[in-house]
Amino acid sequence: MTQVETQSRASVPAAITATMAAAETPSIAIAMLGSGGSGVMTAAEILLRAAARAGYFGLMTKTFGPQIRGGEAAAFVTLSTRPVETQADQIDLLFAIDWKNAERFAGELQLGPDTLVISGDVGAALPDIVTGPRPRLGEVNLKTLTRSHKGVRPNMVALGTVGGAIGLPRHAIAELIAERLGKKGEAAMTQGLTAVDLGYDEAANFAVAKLAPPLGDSARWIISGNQAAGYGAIRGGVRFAAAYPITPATEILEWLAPRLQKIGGLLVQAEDELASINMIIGGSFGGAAVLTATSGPGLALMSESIGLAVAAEIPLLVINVMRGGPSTGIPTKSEQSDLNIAVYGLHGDAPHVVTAPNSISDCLFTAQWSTHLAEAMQVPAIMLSDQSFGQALGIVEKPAALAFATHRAVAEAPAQDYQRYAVTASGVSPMALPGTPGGQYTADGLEHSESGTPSSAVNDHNRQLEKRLRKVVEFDYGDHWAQIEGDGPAAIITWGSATGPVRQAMRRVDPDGTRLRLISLRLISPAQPARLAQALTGCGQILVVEQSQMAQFFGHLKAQFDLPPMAGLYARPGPQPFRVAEIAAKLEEWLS
Amino acid sequence: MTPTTPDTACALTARDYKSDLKPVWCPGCGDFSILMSITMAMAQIGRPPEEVAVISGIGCSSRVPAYTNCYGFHGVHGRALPLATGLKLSRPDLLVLAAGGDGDGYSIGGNHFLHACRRNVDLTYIVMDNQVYGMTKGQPSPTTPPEWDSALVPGGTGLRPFHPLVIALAAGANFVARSFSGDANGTAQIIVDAIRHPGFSLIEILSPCVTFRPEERDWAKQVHPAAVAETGDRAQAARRVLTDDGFNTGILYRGDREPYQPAFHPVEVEGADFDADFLP
Amino acid sequence: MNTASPYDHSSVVFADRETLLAHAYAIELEAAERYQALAEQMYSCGNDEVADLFAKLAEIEGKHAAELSLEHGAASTPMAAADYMWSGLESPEAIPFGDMHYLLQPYQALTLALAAERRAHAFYEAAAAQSPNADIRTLAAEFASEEADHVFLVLDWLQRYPEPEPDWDEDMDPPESL
Repeated sequence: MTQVETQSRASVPAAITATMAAAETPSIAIAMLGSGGSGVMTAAEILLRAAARAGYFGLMTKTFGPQIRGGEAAAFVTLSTRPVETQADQIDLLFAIDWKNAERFAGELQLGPDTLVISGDVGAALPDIVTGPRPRLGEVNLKTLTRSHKGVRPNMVALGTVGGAIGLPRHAIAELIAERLGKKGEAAMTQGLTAVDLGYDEAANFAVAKLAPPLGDSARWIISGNQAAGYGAIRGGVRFAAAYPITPATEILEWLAPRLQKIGGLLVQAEDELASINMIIGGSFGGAAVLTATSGPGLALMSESIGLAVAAEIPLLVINVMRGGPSTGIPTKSEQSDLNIAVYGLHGDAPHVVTAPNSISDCLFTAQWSTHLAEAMQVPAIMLSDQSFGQALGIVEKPAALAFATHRAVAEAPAQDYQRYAVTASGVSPMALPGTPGGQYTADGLEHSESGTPSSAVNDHNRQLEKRLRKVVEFDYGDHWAQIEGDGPAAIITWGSATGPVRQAMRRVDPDGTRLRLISLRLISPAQPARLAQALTGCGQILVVEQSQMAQFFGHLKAQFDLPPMAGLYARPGPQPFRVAEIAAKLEEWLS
Repeated sequence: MTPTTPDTACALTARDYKSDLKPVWCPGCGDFSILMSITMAMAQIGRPPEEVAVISGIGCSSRVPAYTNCYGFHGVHGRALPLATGLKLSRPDLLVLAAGGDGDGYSIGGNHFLHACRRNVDLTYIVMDNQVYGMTKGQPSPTTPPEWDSALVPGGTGLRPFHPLVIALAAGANFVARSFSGDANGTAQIIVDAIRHPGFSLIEILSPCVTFRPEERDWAKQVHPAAVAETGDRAQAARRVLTDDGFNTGILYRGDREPYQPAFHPVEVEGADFDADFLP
Repeated sequence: MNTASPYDHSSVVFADRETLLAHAYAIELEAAERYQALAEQMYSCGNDEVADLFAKLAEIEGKHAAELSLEHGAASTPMAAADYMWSGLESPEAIPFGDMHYLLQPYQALTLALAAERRAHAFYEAAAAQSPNADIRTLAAEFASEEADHVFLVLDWLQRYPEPEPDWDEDMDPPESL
């Protein structure tokens, strides 16, 4: 185990360390709005990709109406010369292809007097949410332009306008248009390039802040949190998955299914979450590294069988992509409110592992690490990602390939008196895989003796409970248990997707990096009280930040750590993502 | 599952498939005979015990895995079939049996039953149907007659019993049979046939609960072999079983659906490079 | 299952000695194992008196199987299950599991044993009467006579025990849930 930890520490992903630079970097925030097949998502994604090729970092998030097709949609893209972890406080440039139902985005469209709003629907009345903040206004007559140029699509003109306005090199966009539309033939490609040119021409009419020249040319990836989680699991050795579709976790499954197939693995669509968790328990019992992915309601259905995996000591990974809850809640919006069910939702005394990534690219690291933990300890691991990671597309530094040696202790040649649940020094007992002669045992959710025979004896219960707790509590999690940045005397303890906004707010409030310290927990459970105490050395002030109405994380910290009474709290529910300005204001207030 | 050892070799006997653990069942329980039939069938199939996995949920009959000398999994209530499915899909080399009772399989596990039939993974599912919840002291199950009186449902459920065989046929099971626990040899032979037949096989075995349904001791006198031969015609099989007296035993249906068994040959971590997916 | 009436021996015919011996060996071994299993069931629910009886019967049948091997060269490797021509639900000398009750009294246990011995006797008698070969008929008749001895032995034991009272299966305590 020590060796594995050493290996991995040596190769912490660049993205994690690179974000420690102190001062806040300027960014440009773009929103594109449209309805009914206007193509804003495609335009925004090409914009993001072009920016990546031009050497920028960025983040793209989306928001939709309730319709499956044809509804109003908004794409938000923030670009910068340094990694972007959260959408900017205020939009610099809004391009609306049309204004249908734009009121829906009240609260998400953060406009101000500096914002430039370009209406592509000349003559249409602008909604109050746009005119209210008194932004600068401009127009691009998409109707005229598309009428006078055959085959030119409004969203491509909008893309060209935005690209031109923020100073993105035209060739970066043109290259992508050629790649995408080239397949559709010469004419389609020419029309696409014409549209972009028309947009770049229009852009000359508008004055907006331009992108600063990119810094360096390190390798970049465009990846969503859901893709990163899937890839991390594959890197961790996962080859068998079973799952039931659920927003916002489905993209993990859809990314995994064809790729698992390519490497000889398999993803099975189960009839429900009760089946998916049990299918992977079966697969893991057979020797495969396994996962399922779900969201709150699915996790609730799985919890009985996760308890089985604890008792029967079956390694598995459950990726839970959190959304607004309870019940169906808000499937397309993020919230950090499944902490309690993940940590405390199992029946009985059921020690298991709960982890949480702290950025999009950390979804990859944490999924791989979680697979490693599950396999090493023969325990279920629940990774708490969330919608804001899962469904956002980020331009990130290419994550390092970690040298985790995912390894399960297997009884390859079981002795005559082989005992599946032998009480060992580490608490982990070598597992005989079906097919191994002499290793036959019955995995059981009933309490059992060391051999696996059902037993309600006091001694067996105590010994098995003890070993199952000990193996997860005494495991050496190394430095990965938390992301710690800075060494100021005021510490902010946070987790998951709150980390990005907190980190950016810290740069704003404490540009010199002398007053604040960030502690973002990657290992939510089992708690690491000694390590947290160590991390808090010299702190006179503590603030906990989380996106949960009932302050589940704060409650967890209070229950598991000796948190000083002065520890403050900033907690609120979703669906509104944390804004840097919002957190920064809280920090100022707290520090004063 | 193709047997790797011919019947006649008989290197292994039923005893080789029994564990030393003593069943907790009530004397007289049909499950004792079924356990024997399973071990007899295993001996005839001839796969060594370590290549066989017996998967169950919760209930009296679900205790069966530990009474065999095979690999076993005694999981949670109602979920034997998905667990067995996951195991078989990731370990197609194993012979996988699922076993349990009527409450486990048809009530709490009802949805999995439908989808296991539909998915048609090469599994053999042995349901020991005693038409009652025994482990919780006698409550009506989906197969209990409507008038059966109990503390939990005084006066009976008044509900039409679930018909597992017809439902299995409708949902796509590839082999459907009914047997009686007391007919140990006949049951063993049906289990052998079910295992050898590709795809999902259901064997519904009438297994008296002498404690909560003592009247089921009379089943021994009521069961009789079906007067007609098995069929490959789903509709015909369904019609027959819908109109019979519920005590016909034997193989009812043998279909020719292709089992669901996607390729599973995982490669090592080094082979799993998808970096190119994420280039801008 | 072959017939509506279990244990109809009308079609028991042996063409060769090995097959008869294989059946005889299986009959005794399965009887021994069944008695042993029933003894264990009875011990596990506290009915030691009946358990002891079954254990004793298991010992007797076990010895009988060993003798078949020793004296007649019966192979101890079983044939394929389908090759046995049992004329009932299982081999004739095994008491059906379904006939058990945890409060079973010795009289009832011995009555079940008596029926089992009689079925074995009838099986061999049928073989002796119906098999074409004279040597086989002689051997089958010899086995039938041994079973007749067992029948008398069990009948003798039966004398020692009273018939159960009508409320023999009454239990003041309710069943347990697990």
